[in-house]
Amino acid sequence: MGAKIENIAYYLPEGKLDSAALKEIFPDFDINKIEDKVGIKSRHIAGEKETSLDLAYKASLNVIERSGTNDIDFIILCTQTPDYILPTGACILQDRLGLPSSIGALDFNLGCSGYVYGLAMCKGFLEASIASKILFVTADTYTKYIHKKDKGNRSIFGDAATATIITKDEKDKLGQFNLGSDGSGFDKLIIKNGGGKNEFDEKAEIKNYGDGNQFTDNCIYMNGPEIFNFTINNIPKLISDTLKANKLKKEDVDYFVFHQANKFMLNYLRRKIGIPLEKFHIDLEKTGNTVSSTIPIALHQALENEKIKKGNKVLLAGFGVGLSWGATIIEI
Amino acid sequence: MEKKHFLEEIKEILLLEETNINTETYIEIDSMASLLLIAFFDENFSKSISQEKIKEIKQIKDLINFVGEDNLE
Repeated sequence: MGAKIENIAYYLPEGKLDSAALKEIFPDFDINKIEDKVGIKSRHIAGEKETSLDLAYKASLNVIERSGTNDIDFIILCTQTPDYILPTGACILQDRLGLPSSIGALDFNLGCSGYVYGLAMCKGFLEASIASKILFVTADTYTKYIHKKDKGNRSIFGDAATATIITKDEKDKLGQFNLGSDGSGFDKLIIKNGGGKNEFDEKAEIKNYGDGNQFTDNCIYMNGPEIFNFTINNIPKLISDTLKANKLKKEDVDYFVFHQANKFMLNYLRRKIGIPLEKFHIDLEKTGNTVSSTIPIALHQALENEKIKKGNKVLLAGFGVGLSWGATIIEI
Repeated sequence: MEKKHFLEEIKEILLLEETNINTETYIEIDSMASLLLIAFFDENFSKSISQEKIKEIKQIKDLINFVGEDNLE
């Protein structure tokens, strides 16, 4: 007995922040550099009253409509920007979607590696017969936590939610997983205040990244260069270990979908690992980095554009905040 | 790598407009240039440069010292 992805849908909030709008806010900003090197021209931004759960709900409705399914028996929600510290967002989602109270529901807190970890959990629940059809949702509104004068992060991150239906299958279409964590890098991408350790501070000191970007400890802080160092030092090995665990060679994989962090980083990783351009997904031009949603959005894009087809083997790799990383090979 | 080529690459990464740059030229490294430098050192010298080290770099000669004069012809 195995598991497979049955359907994927996503939802992007209506609000947008495009290059022209960014240029208006930051007249000195080199927008061409962002478009060329980072590969982002526009990002979707959740409305002031629109939460990650609102996005999650809409993505869920989309996937339920696409698949015509009504027998979901488990909800897993991956978010780092929950509506509440407690209760669990997935429980609220169960009620909003009108699903029976007999189903299981849980949240987990991961970012860019979240989709791979979620698939790993789904596989476990399905193979252990704890569930037979799982609604796995990713949803984040990072933009609510970015300082208004942090043009770097405002140009990178976008808001989004995705919903994937994962079911039991005779064939094991979710392959072997390779997961990793390194908490020593916890402060490379962090919101320091507002949790149990540090209270939200209305008078938080304004800090500078050093190149005109500002933040406070109430906001997202990202040490981009160190995240990049972590990525180039760890991800090539993650890919070779994942291929080994799945008894495949690089050439046996039809398509590679990595977390869509930024175009430059992706291209550098592609070259370092030795993946042909035509087998490698890079498309974050209209969405930006949507954290745990980038991989399912990319899968959806690749399916729609027929870059991947039924029977293809696709390597998925997520990496970032935590620090955390994971990869697997799925069959479409 | 030839020193001349190294300097040309640095000039492009840091978008330096001066026609003639030398070891004493002062430089500023923003976040995007940091990523480009990290990739450049990793790809060409198999060296990992930390954000802290990047912050210490003020002149072209600091970059040369980081890769080591011996690694440049």
